[in-house]
Amino acid sequence: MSKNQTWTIGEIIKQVREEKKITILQLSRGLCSPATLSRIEADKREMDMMMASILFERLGYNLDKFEFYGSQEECEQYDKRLSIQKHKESKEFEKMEQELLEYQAEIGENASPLHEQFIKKMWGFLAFQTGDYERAIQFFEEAIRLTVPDWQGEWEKLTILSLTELEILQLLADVYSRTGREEEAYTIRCSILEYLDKQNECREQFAELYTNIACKVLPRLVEKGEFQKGVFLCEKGIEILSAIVRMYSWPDLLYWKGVCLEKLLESGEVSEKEVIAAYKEAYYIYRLFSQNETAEKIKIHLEENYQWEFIG
Amino acid sequence: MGVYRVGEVIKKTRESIGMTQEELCEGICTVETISRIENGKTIPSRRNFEDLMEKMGRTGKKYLPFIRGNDMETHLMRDKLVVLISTHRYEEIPLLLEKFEEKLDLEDAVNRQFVLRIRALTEYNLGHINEVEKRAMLEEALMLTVPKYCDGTLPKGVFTRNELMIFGNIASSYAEEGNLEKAIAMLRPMEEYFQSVHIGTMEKSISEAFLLSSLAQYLSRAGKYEESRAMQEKLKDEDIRMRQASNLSQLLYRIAYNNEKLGINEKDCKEKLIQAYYVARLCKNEVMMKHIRKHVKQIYKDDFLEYI
Repeated sequence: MSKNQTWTIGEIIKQVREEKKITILQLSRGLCSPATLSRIEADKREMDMMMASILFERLGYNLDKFEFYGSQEECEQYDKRLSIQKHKESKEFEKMEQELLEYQAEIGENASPLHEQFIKKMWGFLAFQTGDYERAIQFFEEAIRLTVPDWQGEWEKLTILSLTELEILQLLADVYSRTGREEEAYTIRCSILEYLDKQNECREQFAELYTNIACKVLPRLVEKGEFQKGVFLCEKGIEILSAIVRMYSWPDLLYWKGVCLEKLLESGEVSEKEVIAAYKEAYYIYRLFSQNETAEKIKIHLEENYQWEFIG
Repeated sequence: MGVYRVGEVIKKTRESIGMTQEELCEGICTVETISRIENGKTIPSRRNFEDLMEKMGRTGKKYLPFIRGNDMETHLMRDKLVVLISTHRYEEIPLLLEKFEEKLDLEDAVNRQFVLRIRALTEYNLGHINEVEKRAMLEEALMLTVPKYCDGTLPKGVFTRNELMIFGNIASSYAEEGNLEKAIAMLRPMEEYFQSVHIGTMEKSISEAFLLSSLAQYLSRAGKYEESRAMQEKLKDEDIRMRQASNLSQLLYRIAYNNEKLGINEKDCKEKLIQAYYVARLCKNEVMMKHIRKHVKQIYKDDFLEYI
C-alpha cells in the first residue's frame, strides 16, 4: 500500500471537503461540533453509519462507492430503514407505519438528531398520505430544523445540504402546495433547483430529486408564459438523465417540453416537427412506464391537431 | 452503499480462503470469540477486526472504498468509464483511461483489476486484440482478487460488483465464440447467488441485471425462447421500476426479437423496437441505435424509425 492511498473515511471526508472549499463549520453545521468533525477527519473518532451517510451526502459523495462493515445493531437498523422506505415506495402504508413504530421503539430514548430526523420525516410522509396536512407540515418543519436550523433563510447560498435534507424540503413544498400555499412551495422548489444547479458533480445523487422538482416547477413556468425557460429546464433535466443513464421523470420532461414548444410554435419560434417529435417520444415512454391513460391523451392531442398517424 | 454484517464478512472471507476458525483466531482472540463474532452475537473491537481481516489478506477498515483513489475526480472518472463501457462508447475511453491511470495507485489490486477490465473490453472493441486475448486479460483481472477462480467457476464467497461484471464479461466471451453451453453453465448459478447474498439493493440490482440479462440472451440464442422471454420480461420490468436505462435498450430489443421468432405480437414488437431506440438514444448509445435500425430495415418492410 503506497502512501498516496486514501484508506480511511476521515481522510476522504477531509479531502473532498477541502477540494470543494467547504469549511468544517459549514459541513458540521447542525450535525456535530466542528471539533468533533475535526477529530473524525483525523481518524481519532469513529462515527456511526447515520453520521457518515449524512456527511457524505452533504459532500455530494456517492455512498455506493463504499462497502460498510457494521455491527449487528447498525445493520439491523439500516435494514429497517430500508424496509420502511421500500414500503413507502410500494405504497404499503400500513406496513410502513407498523415498522416505523417498531423502529422508533428500538431506537428508544437515545435517538440522535439524525435518527429523529428520519423518524419525523417518515411520520410526516404518512400524515401527508392520510390527508393530515397540518400535522405533516409540523413534522417536516421539525425534521428539517434538526439539522438545518436556518432553513427559512437563503440557505441555498449559505449551507450545504444532503439529499435527505433536500427531500424533506421537497416534501414540505408538496404539502404547502396541497394546502394552497403555492408561492411558498414555488419558492422552496426554485431554491432547491438553484442549489442543485451549482452542485455540478453530484448529479447521480440528485438527479431524481432535480427532475421531480423540475416537473413541478414547469406547470408554473407555463402559467407565467416563460416557455423558453421551460424548454431549457426540460433539456437540462434530460441531459442529466443521459449522463447517468437513468430515466427519472423522463416522459414528464418530454411532455412539458412538448407543451412549451407548442406555445413557442404559436409565435413561430419553433417548427411543427419539433413539437411532434417531443410529444411522440413522450407517448412512447409513457407507454413504456405503463402510464397508458396519459399516453392516450397525448396521442389524441397529436391526432387531432397535427393529423399525425401512429405506427402500428 | 453495500452494507455487510461484520460477522458475515469475516465468515465468508475465512471460508473462501479455506481457513478454519482456529487458524484465524490464533494470536488474536479465542475460538469462542470468533464464533460469536461470526454469528453476530459480538462485535469485534476495531483492533481485532483489522487484525483478523489483515490475516486473511483483506483490509480491516470499516468503510471500504471500491476504488482507492485520492480524490473525487478519480471517482468521477471511474463513473464516467463505467458509463462509457456500458453504452459501448469505446473510442472515448483510451484518453480518459490514461488520465485515470495516472491518478491511481496501480499497486493496489482492486485498482489494477478495474483498469485491466476496461482495457480488455476497449482494446477488443477497437479491434486491437482478439476474443481469446480479451478473455485472458479478463481472467487475469478477476484472479487478482479471486485467485481461486478457475475455468468458468467462481469459488464460494461474496463478490464485489466489479468481480461479478468481469465474470459476466468472461461468460459473454464464450458466447461470442459460439460456446453458448459454457456461457449458460457459468451464468445459471448466479440466480441462486443473488438470492442468497445479503447486499444493499442498488449494488445487487446492477450486477444482477447484467448477469441475468446476459443469461437470458444466451438462452434465446440457444433456442430456448420461452424461458428467455420470461426472464427478460422480469428484468425489463425491474429496470423500468428502478428507472435504470443502461441495460434496458438491449432488453427491449431482445424481447422484440424473441417475439418475432415466436411469431407473436407484431404490433407490440414494433412498439418495443421504437422504445428500445429512444432508450438507446437517451443513453447516447450509437452502436445500439444503429443495430436496432438495421434490424428494423431487415425484418420490416418500412423503416419506421426514420421519422424519430
